[in-house]
Order: sequence, then structure tokens, then C-alpha cells
Amino acid sequence: MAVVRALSQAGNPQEVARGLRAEFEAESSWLTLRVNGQQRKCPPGTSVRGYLDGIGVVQDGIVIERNGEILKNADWAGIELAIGDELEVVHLVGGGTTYG
Amino acid sequence: MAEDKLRLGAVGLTCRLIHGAARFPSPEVLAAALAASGTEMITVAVRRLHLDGDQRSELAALDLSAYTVLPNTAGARTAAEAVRLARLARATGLSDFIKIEVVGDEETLLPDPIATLEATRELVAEGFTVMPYCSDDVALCLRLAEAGATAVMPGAAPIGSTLGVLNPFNIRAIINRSPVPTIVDAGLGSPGDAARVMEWGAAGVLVNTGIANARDPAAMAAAFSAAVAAGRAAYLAGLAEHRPEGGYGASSPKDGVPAPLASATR
Repeated sequence: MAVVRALSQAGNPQEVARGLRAEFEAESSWLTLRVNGQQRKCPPGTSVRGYLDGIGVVQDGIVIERNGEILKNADWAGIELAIGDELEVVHLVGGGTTYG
Repeated sequence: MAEDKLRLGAVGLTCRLIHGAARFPSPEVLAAALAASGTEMITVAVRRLHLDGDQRSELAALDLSAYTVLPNTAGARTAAEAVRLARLARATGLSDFIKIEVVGDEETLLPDPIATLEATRELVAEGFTVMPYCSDDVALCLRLAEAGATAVMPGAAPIGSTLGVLNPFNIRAIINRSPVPTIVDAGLGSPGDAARVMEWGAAGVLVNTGIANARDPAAMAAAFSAAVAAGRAAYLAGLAEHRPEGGYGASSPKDGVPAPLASATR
């Protein structure tokens, strides 16, 4: 619907269509990851730090595990995410006992 | 009197109540309970960050630097899962302590003794200060101590049950036999339960549900803390011994009591 509306309301529908297509193709080139067990996407070249910024992770005390390996905070900016990466983004929460 | 502190790894605790942080009605109530208890050590868990919506941990409002943080491996079902959670916990930079918890039975949540011992060996080798939550079994506690555990944490009753000490004989035997401090964990429901194990010589207790599920958690935290201190003081004072083998009627002096009049004996 949004595409139809954008095209019908545009002064130059062809140009708008080209823009939308470029956006779509860019999106389709995005990498698929698993983050905390969920399927997620990000643009190629995204660093771990960039990804966290992108999803709004700002707090301290976060630990990142990538494909089973814990990353040092200092390395977050320099490591580029790759297709199929499995990230765990964890922190400490209240908990004294195991509850089902 | 010499300072009476519970030495665990590099820390010394004056308050022997270790405080849980789960299942409190709100972060504010948790903070109030922690303050009321005077606890110096709190246990926390490792969990995935919520990617969407509120990412804030209920711990965000607390100044964790005021406490020794005891991360736990709650949620682990195997030794390998416990080791992974322990490494993630240490990577926060907050603590080298780890309380091993490995569930061995989904129904009761009782711990898996074999996986607990395996995880203890591995994490001791990796330099953690290891405090395993374990079954109330004397031989297991001896093996955990031998493996390098800093303390053993036998459960009084299933986690969250508030049933109190189900097997007093075993808990007392562990306290008496373990070469490392015994911290009674799980299932303590009332301050009386905590005082009793402290009187027996437990080095400390860990309480969560007994405080978190009380009508007034902060007031209950204070009550538990006072009970732990009273139990400790009683232990140090040396309890008057029961004398079941001597019968129960010989506890007051008998010598020198004027004899009945000869005229009254008949």
C-alpha cells in the first residue's frame, strides 16, 4: 500500500520507483544474523558496535558473545558482522534462584 | 573480640546474609530490602538483553559497586552451559565469583550433583571463585571442597519452596565435615530457619524467595538479617548441650539438699 501511495502521489513516479527499487535491492543485500535467538538483518560492513548503536543498546554492563566466543569491548568497533553470525547480547539481572 | 568475618576468596563479609535479587515486586522494593538487610553480597543472573522495548535491568537502579556481586548460572542444565554462563558473567567485569547452579530435575529444580562437580572443576581451573549450590549430601560437599570450591552451598529445601531445613542431620553433618565454609542456600522460609542453621555453625545463608515473597520484603530482609546475626552469636557463644544420654531430669544440682525428715518417711 505504501508503495502504491508513494507512486500515485509522486510528481515523477518513475524516479520514485527507481528509488524504492534501489532501497529494496540494498535491503536484500543485508546480512542475516541470529541475535539472541531471533533472526535479524544489518547492512554489509556493520561492526558489532555499529549494530548495537543501531538497535539502541546504550547501557553499560553488556557482554557480547559471537559464535560462542566472548568479544572484548575494545574490539566491538573493529569487528565486522558476517552472514550467519550468532550473537548473544547479555547482561546481569536480578536472580537468586532458578525459576522455570 | 576478634573481628568475625566470613572470608570468601578476596572478600570478608560482616553480614552473613547473602541476598537474592529475583522475583521482587519492583526494583524499588528490591533496593529497600537490600538496604534493610545490610547485606554485602547479592546474587544475580545472566540473561539475554531484550532487543526491543525496555532493555533496562532491574539492577540498573542499584549501585552494584557497593556489593560483592555473586553471579549465578541459573538456567543451566549441563556443566557446559554453566561454564558458558560463568564466562559471560565474568566478562561483565563485575566479579570473579560464580555460584554454580545446574538444574538436574525440571520438576523440583533440584541440582545435578555430577554436573555441579564437573562445572566446579572447570571453573576453579579457570580462576573463578567458585561457590556451588548443591544437594545436601556430605560426600558431594567433600568432593566439591576437594575440587577447589571456596564454599559449599547445600540447599535446605527445593529452591523457592520456603520449606525450611528438610534434612537437619545432613545439613549439620555438612557444616561439621566440610573443610570450606557452608552457606545454606535455597528453601529457607523464615528467619527462624536461618537462625537455626547459623546456630549449628553455618558460615552464612542465602535467601531470596523468603524475602521477596513476604508481604513486606524490606521488613522481612531486616528480620532475616537479625536472625542470621543472632544465630551466629549463639554459635560463637556455644550452645548449652542437650544431654539425651543422661536422661532429662538431672539438670539441677542435687547435692546438699536437706534430706526429708525421718519422721516424714513413713
